[in-house]
Amino acid sequence: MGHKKEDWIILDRLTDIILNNVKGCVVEIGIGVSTEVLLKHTKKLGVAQYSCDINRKKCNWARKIGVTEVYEGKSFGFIEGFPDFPVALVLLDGDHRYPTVVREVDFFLSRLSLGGVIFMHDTCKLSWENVYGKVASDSYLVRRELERREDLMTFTWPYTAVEYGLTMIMKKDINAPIFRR
Amino acid sequence: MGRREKEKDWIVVDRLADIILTNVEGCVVDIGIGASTIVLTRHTKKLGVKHYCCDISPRRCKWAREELCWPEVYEGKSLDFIKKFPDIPVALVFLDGDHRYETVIQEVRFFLKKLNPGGVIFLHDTYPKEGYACEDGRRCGTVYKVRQEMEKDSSVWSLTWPYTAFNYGMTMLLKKEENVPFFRK
Repeated sequence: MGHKKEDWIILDRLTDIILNNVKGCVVEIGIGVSTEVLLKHTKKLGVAQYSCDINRKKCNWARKIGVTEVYEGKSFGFIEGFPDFPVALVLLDGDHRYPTVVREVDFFLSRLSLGGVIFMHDTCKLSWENVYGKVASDSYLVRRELERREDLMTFTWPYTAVEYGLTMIMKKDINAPIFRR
Repeated sequence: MGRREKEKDWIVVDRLADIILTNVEGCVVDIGIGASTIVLTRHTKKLGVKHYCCDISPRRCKWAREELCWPEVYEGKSLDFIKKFPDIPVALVFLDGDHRYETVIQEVRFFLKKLNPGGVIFLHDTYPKEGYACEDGRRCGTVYKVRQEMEKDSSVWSLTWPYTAFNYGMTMLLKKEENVPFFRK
């Protein structure tokens, strides 16, 4: 599926820390090597993992390796039917067009527990060809919008994840005292 | 090591240090010697990365010299350490020394200049519990004000872990690359 497990080393190293400290399930849009990386932790910690992809082959593969909640279809449909659960960790690596990524981010921000993290891939690509080559990749635009929001913290790793940028988004506790805001 | 620190309290630094050091050239700087120094030494020794640490406590400095044997130890105040710091690039900085805004902001500004793009500054005690934000520098001091200032600085990416590290807040600052195309800015 293109990527190697080492590409997701940051996700791999941080997932159990997040899941041990934040209540909620794991959501992944775009099935691939990252699915296996996340599954290792969700299985061990007994956390529900929801994976979504439009590709039937990938969905069947995810089911085969042990993901119980697999949605085959577009993320819009996935979101509409998503249960009323808090979410601790999200990985967004599906459709990279602006309206889709914005919708996914908005939805999962509303579900994200405090301390939970949304990981967004392909937010800091190396060249213009990578951004608007075969498939349009607007994720960097969404990253830049999120960076301007005062209710969020955003942090982008320019290395690992195929060097395409891996952004972490965390919500601030807007009701906290001044020294925790 | 006043808070009975354990290595597991620094799990975020421990998990990320080798990733940073294998992707970013430069040395490691650690202000405030403790269990974090053990964690960082494990990585710097393994990867052969130069490691500088600093503390005002002679006992801690002696311990680092004798027990860890790897880091270059400076005994004294961080602002004096900074004055003597060699002109070399830095990949990772861990700040947990003096907790007054006036000192920490100088440490951060100094090391942001030295930091290679992609390098990370870890800043402890940035998310204090009630009663722990002390103007006189005790407990978490006023380090949270440095975090708040950095969150407004567009030259860095900033994220604060509210958990681990005694739940006092561990902020990561990553220096952005300059002169990059707009889609990388």
